Amino acid sequence: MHAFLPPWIKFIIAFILLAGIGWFLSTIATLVKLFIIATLFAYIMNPLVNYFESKGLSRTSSTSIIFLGVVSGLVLFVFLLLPNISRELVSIQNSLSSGKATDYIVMLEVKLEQATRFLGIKNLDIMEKLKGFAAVTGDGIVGYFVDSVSLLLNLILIPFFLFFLLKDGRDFSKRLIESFPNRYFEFCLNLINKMDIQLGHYVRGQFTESAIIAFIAFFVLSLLGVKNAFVLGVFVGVTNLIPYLGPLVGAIPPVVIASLDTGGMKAALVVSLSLLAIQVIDSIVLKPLIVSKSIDMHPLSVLLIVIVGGKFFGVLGMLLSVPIMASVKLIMFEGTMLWRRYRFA
Amino acid sequence: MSDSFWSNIFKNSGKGVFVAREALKATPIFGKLKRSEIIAVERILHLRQYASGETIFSQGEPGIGMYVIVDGRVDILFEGSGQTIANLEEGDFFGEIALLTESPRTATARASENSKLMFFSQADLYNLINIKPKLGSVILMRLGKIIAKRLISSNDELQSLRNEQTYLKEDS
Repeated sequence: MHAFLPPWIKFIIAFILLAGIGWFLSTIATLVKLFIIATLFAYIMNPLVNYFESKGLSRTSSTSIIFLGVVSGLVLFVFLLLPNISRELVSIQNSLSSGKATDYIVMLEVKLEQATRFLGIKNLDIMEKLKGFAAVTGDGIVGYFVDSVSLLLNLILIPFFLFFLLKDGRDFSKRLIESFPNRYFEFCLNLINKMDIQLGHYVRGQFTESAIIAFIAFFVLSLLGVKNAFVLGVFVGVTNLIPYLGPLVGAIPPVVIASLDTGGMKAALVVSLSLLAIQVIDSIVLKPLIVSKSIDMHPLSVLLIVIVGGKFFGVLGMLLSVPIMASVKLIMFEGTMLWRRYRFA
Repeated sequence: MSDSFWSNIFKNSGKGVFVAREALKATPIFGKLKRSEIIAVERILHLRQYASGETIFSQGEPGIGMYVIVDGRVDILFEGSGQTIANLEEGDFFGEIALLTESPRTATARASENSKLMFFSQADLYNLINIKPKLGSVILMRLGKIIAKRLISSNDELQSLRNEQTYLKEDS
């Protein structure tokens, strides 16, 4: 029937459909967010499920084994490490909220203003900016993870989505592909496969890179005798997931805490240089080995996308903006190229 | 032309699956596999329905996999001359070169009657090798044998054409 409709009616129908989908997605935004997070975890865990399946287990058994392993790991983590981590968190909070931190930041501001006077920079107002940043970021993270309702929802829904994505993800994808018309079937399958491969490489690469960075940061901070090295190392690793801006944000707590503990600039400088060295190792060794070519985007584009993502969707936006834009770019460029090769135009 | 979108969503898979398995068993690539292996293969393949006269793929388009005819008939033809080079039926398969390399289709495939086909893509083959390495290797070996047989046959044909050419040259 559609073949007989004039193009402008088809365009209006497509527009109404897209607007409807957009409206529907915005009304179920929380569920969409949780689904996206579960999908990212599924990308990370899928090779493990495939491994058990290749050893002769069924998909359901493989998924259940991985799931039980992760849940047991989390339970062990909660019982063994959580008391120490909460102690470290409280200690970090006390250090940062003490008057010493404010004094230190004011002193840093004065020194920075003196050093950059020749550039005409004055009134840096670091304290106010930090407060503003902490309010936005903190609200984002705390509001998202600590709010009891969303925490409960996350604890139930993310594993629920994750289990079925791991177990039946291939069937979902097959059903989706089967719904495309015959004319566009191979084209869509080709595009979805390419997107799946690129996203998989990116997500797993970022996860591996961040885990290694967290471990190195923990090791280096422990060697330097910085207190609460475990939590700080994990923080450095997690913030490393955000391209360019993440390492800067991740370096602030270890540097501030190191200088507060020792009361001097020397410790801050040593920690800063160590974290800089970790970033150099990351750029020279880890990124080329793990993440390279998983995403073919100009650094400036990545930086802009991260800022825009953070502006509109907070921390989650900063984390997800790059893989989402990489998919959009792939659909646009590969899609156009394939469209021409399939001679639809 | 049938509306494949809705027909694929509301298709009755019960009988179709059984017929598909039988069709898969009839192909040299999937034949003689164990029942559990055929089910594993069938799970990852895409069942498509084509109306009589509908083009399955066109010559020159990028190919990413092969088709197995579950039900119906398919003509393979050259675009320029319009010459039909093969009439395929249930159990036959085509486009297998695209399983190994994403190369342009060398001919056009068109359903000559209402047909059900199963599509096996390169990504499905990699996936199978990853999750069921033994089965993936068996399929890959069989595919290699088929292509080797075709290469031998093409070489024989080329040799006979060369002999004919030499004979014609000597004759003239």
